[in-house]
Amino acid sequence: MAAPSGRIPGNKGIWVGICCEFVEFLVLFVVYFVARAHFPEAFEKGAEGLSTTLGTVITLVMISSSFCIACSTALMRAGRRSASIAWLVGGLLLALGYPLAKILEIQWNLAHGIDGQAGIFSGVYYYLTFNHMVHAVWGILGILWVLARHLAGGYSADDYSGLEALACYWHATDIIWLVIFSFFYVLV
Amino acid sequence: MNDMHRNSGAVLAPLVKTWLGLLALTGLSLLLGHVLHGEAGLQWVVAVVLWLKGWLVIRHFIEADSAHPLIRRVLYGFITITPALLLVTALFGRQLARMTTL
Repeated sequence: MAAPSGRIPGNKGIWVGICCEFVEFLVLFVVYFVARAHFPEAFEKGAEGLSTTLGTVITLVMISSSFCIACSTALMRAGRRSASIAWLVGGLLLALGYPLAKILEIQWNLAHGIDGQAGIFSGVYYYLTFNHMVHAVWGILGILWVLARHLAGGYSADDYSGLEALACYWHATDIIWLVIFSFFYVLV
Repeated sequence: MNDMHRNSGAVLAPLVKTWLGLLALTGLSLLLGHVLHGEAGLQWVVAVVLWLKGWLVIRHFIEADSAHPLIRRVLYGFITITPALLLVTALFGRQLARMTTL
């Protein structure tokens, strides 16, 4: 029997991690939907209290850093190592905007009385968004590691699986943020 | 053409289009969220825009269409299930609340 066709972007290990990440967030999204079904008014009012501006900034940062890292991977595949490193640095700088925006958002939330004990909405919101930030911080550490390897000449047009694995993880983390953004900042 | 000989513009053009598409969809979702504030149809709009954004990332950034079938199923499954759950909650929220009451 023939093996299924198709390549594994990055490496197998990163896809085990991405699958675990998806399962974890699917469980958290089910919690979100069950809470929303029980307390629809709390979720409508709660979402109105969040800063749409800072939520949008995080979304733009995630989308753009994901784009930079996709460019870095494509350029490494095309044999353009210096350009690949430059795009990876751009991706890192943008990614660092996420924790920065999150700190500003938390300060904004606390100034407006949205803390972890402000009700069912804020409990679910903080649990989901903090969890995502933890995954994003892992991603940022991964970018730093891959950048160090890239600068040391660890990747080539024939072997860039480490860079591609990092890119896949960051894109998956981006997709999860796009879901969170829709559920908490758009669905008002 | 061998990738080694392609210029940066040709390599990056599809990624730039995807990025612009994602930015446009983000702006569109915020605009529609504002216009349809409190309306029942908002959930449908959010679900469709969310699916489109996820599809763009999966299709063009991760290049899932050339990936192993299991990876494709995981990715497309995730971005299909999450908006579907949103619609299920919008349509059957009361039933879901009853089913999950202890």
